[in-house]
Amino acid sequence: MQETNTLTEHSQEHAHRSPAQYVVIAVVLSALTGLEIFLYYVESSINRTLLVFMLLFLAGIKFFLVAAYFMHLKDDPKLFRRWFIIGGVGALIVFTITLVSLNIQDQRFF
Amino acid sequence: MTTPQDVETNDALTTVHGSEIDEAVELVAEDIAVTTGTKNAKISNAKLAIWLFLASDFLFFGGFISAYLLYRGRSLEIADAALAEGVEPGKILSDVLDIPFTSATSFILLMSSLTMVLALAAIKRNDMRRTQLWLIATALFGTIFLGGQIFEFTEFVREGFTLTTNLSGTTFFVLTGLHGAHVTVGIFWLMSLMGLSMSGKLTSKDSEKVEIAGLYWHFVDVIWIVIFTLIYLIPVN
Amino acid sequence: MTVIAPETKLERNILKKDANRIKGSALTALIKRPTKTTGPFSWVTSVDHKKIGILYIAVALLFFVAGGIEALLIRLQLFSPNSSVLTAVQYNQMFTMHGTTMVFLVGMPIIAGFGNYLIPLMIGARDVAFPRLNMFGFWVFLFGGVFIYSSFFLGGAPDGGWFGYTPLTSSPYDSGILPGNGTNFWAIGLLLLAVGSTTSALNFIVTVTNMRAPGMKLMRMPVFVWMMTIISFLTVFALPVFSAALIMVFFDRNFGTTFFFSATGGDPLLYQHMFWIFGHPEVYILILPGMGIVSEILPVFSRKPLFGYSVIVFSGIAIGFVSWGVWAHHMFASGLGPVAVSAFSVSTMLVGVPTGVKIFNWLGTLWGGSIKFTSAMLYSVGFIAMFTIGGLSGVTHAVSPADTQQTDTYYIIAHFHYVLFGGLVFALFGGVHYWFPKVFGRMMSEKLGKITFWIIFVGFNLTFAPMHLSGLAGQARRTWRYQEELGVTFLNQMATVGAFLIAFGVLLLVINIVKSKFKGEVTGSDPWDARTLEWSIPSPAPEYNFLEVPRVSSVDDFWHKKYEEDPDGRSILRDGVDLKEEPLRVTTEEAVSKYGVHLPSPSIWPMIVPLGMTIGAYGLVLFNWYTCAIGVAVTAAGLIGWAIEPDTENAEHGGAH
Repeated sequence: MQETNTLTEHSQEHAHRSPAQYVVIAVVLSALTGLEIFLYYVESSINRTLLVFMLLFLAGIKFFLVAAYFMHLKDDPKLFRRWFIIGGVGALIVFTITLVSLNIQDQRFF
Repeated sequence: MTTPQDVETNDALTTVHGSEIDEAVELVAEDIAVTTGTKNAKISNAKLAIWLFLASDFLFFGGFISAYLLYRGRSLEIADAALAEGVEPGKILSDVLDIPFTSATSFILLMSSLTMVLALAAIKRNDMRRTQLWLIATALFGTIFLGGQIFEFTEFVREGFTLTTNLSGTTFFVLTGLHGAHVTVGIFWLMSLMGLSMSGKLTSKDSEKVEIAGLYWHFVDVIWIVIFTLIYLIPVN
Repeated sequence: MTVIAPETKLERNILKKDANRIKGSALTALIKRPTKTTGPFSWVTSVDHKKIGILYIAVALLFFVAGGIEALLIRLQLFSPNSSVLTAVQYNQMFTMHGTTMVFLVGMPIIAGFGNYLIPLMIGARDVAFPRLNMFGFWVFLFGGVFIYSSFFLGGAPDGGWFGYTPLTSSPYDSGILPGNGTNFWAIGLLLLAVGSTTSALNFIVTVTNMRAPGMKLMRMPVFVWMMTIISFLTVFALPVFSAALIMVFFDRNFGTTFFFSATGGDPLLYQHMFWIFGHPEVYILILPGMGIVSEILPVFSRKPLFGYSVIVFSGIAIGFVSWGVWAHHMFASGLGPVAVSAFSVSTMLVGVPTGVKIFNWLGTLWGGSIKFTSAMLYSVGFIAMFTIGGLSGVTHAVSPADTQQTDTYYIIAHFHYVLFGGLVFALFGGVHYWFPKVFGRMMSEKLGKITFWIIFVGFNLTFAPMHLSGLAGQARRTWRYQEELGVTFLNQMATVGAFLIAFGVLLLVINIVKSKFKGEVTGSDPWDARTLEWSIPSPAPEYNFLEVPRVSSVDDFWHKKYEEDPDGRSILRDGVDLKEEPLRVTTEEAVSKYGVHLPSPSIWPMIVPLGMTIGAYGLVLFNWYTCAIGVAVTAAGLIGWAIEPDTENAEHGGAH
């Protein structure tokens, strides 16, 4: 029975991404990092809120790229993605509430 | 293979879909799948387990990152207050940071994620030489990153910025120190995989072992992405 | 009814290939793997979930006695005002160790024990997903518990409260605040235990996700399995936050950092947030399995299905989610400000709703049932009543103005003992009575069991009911003496008498357990005419669990295989079913050779790694770096041995973990 093969590997063999695709992602990641560093150097000439927002945004994209492609989440069963997002958002909310309650007297956020 | 006559249930509540043979085949396949743990979530036991572990580790770092964010800027306030009184303040992080250096090491860690995923791709197509090459590369990049961290830390300490100097030092060193510890564990993990591969015990059937190590490694990289942005790049003023 | 043999030639071939691949390894030949599954040493090397479950429960019961003795000492001290039975420091050690023991060395492990034994049986599996990791969890617990208790002899037990608030616990080691090694033992010990709990939780989640028998859909699982799954998720997400906080405390105390030192900008309140972000889900981790146990027992002794199965499941899930949003109700008096306090007040009231729903569902189960008051049933009905009382006092805490008076008084102690003792412990004792026949093949003495229940019930209420009053009268928590003028002396005396009554009851329970293990009435596989899968196999449960993988077609599948419903909805025995007929029992060897059953092999490494971790822990708290190094070396050796040990069929957790 052909089941032999499907049982000893993952039962869901999704499209392998080629090494070339991974390299492309890595190039994009490097470009984003370059952009971040550039922003760091021109920080004094940018509005602070904008700067922070852009840095966080860039970090977010990098996070997403590594998680989705290198960690294969994009090609994994949807269940994983859902738990990842629920957990991640949940953690963010819990820690944000904590920081806000502790910071409420002190107006510094970033 | 079993024949339909072997299948007999007296359970009036089951409904039969399709022919009896199909059901027999399905039940046998289910059996095997269940006892080898590959059935229900369509994802292996080990992979599910590592993701859960990473979730817990993510919250672990979340605690330290939150502490860092909360305490951000407080050392600066205290330093300013000290200055105003004419007392020499301790150094804070922004006094000692060397962004070009850390950017370089961060970049290397980022690239180690690439080499890691290339190692996985290699073992999946049974290319053992490439697998070993990329595994070593990943471990090497990780070691370079670690070396960079250690160098950076010793520099900071030499300049007077230590674990106990102030809150800035406390939160910085504990957070990045724990991250470094995670990288170290990862490097040992990769070296064990290398060891397994060199003694011929790693084949394309074991690609999952590499995948799991990879998930841990990418996680460590992702945490650094967050740390690098929050701590190094976003300025305190 | 014939069923297909599950183990086919193709599966045997897969295994043969793996075995051959590994056989050639010289390294593995160096370290001979233990093989015996009987005899006393097999308890050290066994990866069988049932043995591990029994170990967890037995050791947890030992710690329960220890924690109980600590409680009795507290009650002796509080018997009279201005008493000197204990010194203030000793008193602090007693309440700290009592709380730490009961939560971390009794509550969580005994739940892990029940889960370990029952989850594979209830879902039709042969073992958990990672048998060696399972065993690892137990040894971490045992060594961690011994580690914490050894503090009594190594510089003083922890005395900063089970919750360890900063800046008390984070004060530098040589500052004279909380002198001695106690707090270090506490922090490192709990970090150790956290590793074990997390791996256990991981194991349960993967087991329930991947290893259910064919037809065992999620909404056909017993409620107990659902509750264990939910709390496993809570554990995985909540414990790491506490671990982070513990590391910060340890660093502040020993390495001069200032996480919680306000003079340099630190905030002690951060610790409280981090602790309770863990702490609140923790109390749900403690109670949900109790609710699961009760949800198993009530239907059996009402001879009715559980009322509103899916509602109970969804309520459990809802509790799991909402429990993340209420933590600061433990901090109402800490100066959070009106906005935060109001928000958490509302969310706390919200979390009572799904819990209340469950109570109504249990009552609905009892209603119209054919009730049989066995000991297990007494504890379960007692649970409903006592937990409701505790829940009601909990609702009064949710109202933050009221809580401002109640907090840090004995009123709070009354609340959580009603829900934890009258809730969780009652459920656990009921569970012991209920599943004892499955584990040991003998019945516990029902007569002694009922007497024990009533003694414990009276003793429990005598102990904790007065605390509502003494708390509102102003008796403060964690205070070694109270003054005569407070007017709570009589209440305290009642409580002390009640506590000794509880102790007597627990003694009777232990006697019942031990006596019944050796002399109890021998019983068959299904003495209670129960509903879930674990009762379909012989008692005591054989090592292989199920000879043939069960096919499940409904909730309470075992019940439906025995009974069908007549037009009026009543259960009537199916044709051909003989309740006295015992399921086939074979020896393990026969199961393996004839029925093709595969079992995970015993191992020594999951005991070595925790040993190494504990040695390292001693090195840390005693500031001896050589010991630390030895600990790290033993741990590393254990991990390597574990990793190169041949996999078994049950997909061991490969790699350095």
